Amino acid sequence: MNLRGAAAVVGICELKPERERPDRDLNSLLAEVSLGAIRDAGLRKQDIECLIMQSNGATDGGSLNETMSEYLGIQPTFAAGINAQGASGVAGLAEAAAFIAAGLANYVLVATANPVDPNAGGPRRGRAGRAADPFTTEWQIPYGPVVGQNGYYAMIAQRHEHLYGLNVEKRAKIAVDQRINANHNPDAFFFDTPITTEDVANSRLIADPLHLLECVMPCSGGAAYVVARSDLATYLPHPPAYILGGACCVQRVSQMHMSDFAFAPVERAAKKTFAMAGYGPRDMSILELYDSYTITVICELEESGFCAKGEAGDWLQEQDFTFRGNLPLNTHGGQMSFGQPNFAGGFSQVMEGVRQVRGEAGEHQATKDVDLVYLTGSGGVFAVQSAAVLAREPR
Amino acid sequence: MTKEYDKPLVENPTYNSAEWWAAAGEHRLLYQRCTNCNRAVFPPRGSCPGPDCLVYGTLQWSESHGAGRVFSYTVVRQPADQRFARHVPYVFALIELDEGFRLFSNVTDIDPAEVRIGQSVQVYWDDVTADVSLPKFRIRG
Repeated sequence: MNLRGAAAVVGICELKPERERPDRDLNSLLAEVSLGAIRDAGLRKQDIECLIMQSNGATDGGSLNETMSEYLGIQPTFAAGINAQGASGVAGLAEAAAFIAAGLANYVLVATANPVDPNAGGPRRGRAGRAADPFTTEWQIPYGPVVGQNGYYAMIAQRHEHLYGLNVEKRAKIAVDQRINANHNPDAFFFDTPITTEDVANSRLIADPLHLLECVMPCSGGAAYVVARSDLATYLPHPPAYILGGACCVQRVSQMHMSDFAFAPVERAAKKTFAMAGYGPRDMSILELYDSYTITVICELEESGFCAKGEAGDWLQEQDFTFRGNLPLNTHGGQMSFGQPNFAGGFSQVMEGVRQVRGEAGEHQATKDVDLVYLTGSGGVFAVQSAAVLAREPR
Repeated sequence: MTKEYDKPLVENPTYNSAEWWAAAGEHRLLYQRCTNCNRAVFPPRGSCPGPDCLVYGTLQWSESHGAGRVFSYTVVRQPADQRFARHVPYVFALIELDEGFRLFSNVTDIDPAEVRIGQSVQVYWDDVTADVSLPKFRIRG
């Protein structure tokens, strides 16, 4: 038994990224996107039988389902968490589908939101990143905290460059093609700003070897989706985006104990997801891959089997990742150009995958036919990674 | 020794790491080795992450010679914590010790542009307070 085709995403709602929303709190944003997703699905509150509310990392998620149950006036018969940081949005697809396949619920609501950057840091505030786990506070911070995750992903990029020669000019391909997509998405934070390879390579070094235009910008936002049992999904207003497979692999919390961290753990999630879906990388119409940094996407492409490990450098240059290209990637602009509202950043790939399957992405709708979408999520520093396949048909 | 060290330090070591910090105060770099599978383990914990280790408490303290290599590194040019502002650009690195474990640290006394993956390094101790010493590394000549 598995969840292949058992459920579909039938409702979505996403807030336009803003630098921050200091006047809002987590609960009010969760309420706004949750109600939006239920309306989009054409459902009523009382249809929702399972809540999966994801904390933004700064607020304890321990009682979030109960809080939002009271806030929204929704009394589900099951509730759960995801707790996979940036991997949560994509991981939630398989989780919701599994609950539905097991008969725990017919309609599941998944949501997250972020009022302000919970790292409470970054360049604007000049403070250290959030570090809740003792492995980080005890063994990393005393040697000089890095802004957000910049330094840790920089070490991955450094390692990749050392092993395979993937330099900034080659990595820039991801940032540039995704920006073209963002330039066709009015909701994207960098809608008005085109960039070139030279712009990326000449942008300020943030943490060697990563440059400014290879990094996401933290912002505020939120997103929610409703998953429904497949046979019920067909009666709802929008074309369903069927969930054919998914996985979420937890690897570690720090970088100290990896065989070699130039290899992303999404490999295990990808294998399991493709096996469940009955399709492989070459069958995918478009890709919505978690993009905290250029190097994140590159490792995910390699480890998911779109090119051989270490060969991304030349392979990337032969692809057209724009919405009108041969292999559209992060058609909304990706988090690097759309914005990263913390854990809701990982939900943006789900939102966009669903819009593309529906054919409702507007100006950035892929010009090729979209029937299969491959998605990834990533949390921490390759600490936890998820994968999923969405499809237009429940096969 | 700095009298007023203003940078972040661990106030309460975890259950398994108090002994590590005590040894660090005596300039001894400890790591754990598993009596069941012989794996080198760091950071300190109570049980071995090895695939065949199912018993709690198989890890014993060992002392490292402090020699290793740069596994990866970055140059921090923008401090996330203003207390480090006067040190930028500094090298934040993951060091692989010859005994087979890794730890985060700094590589100092070198132009950051000269650091490379694979360079041999040797530990030295930075006595940041009367009680706390941090292991840091210099290129081994």
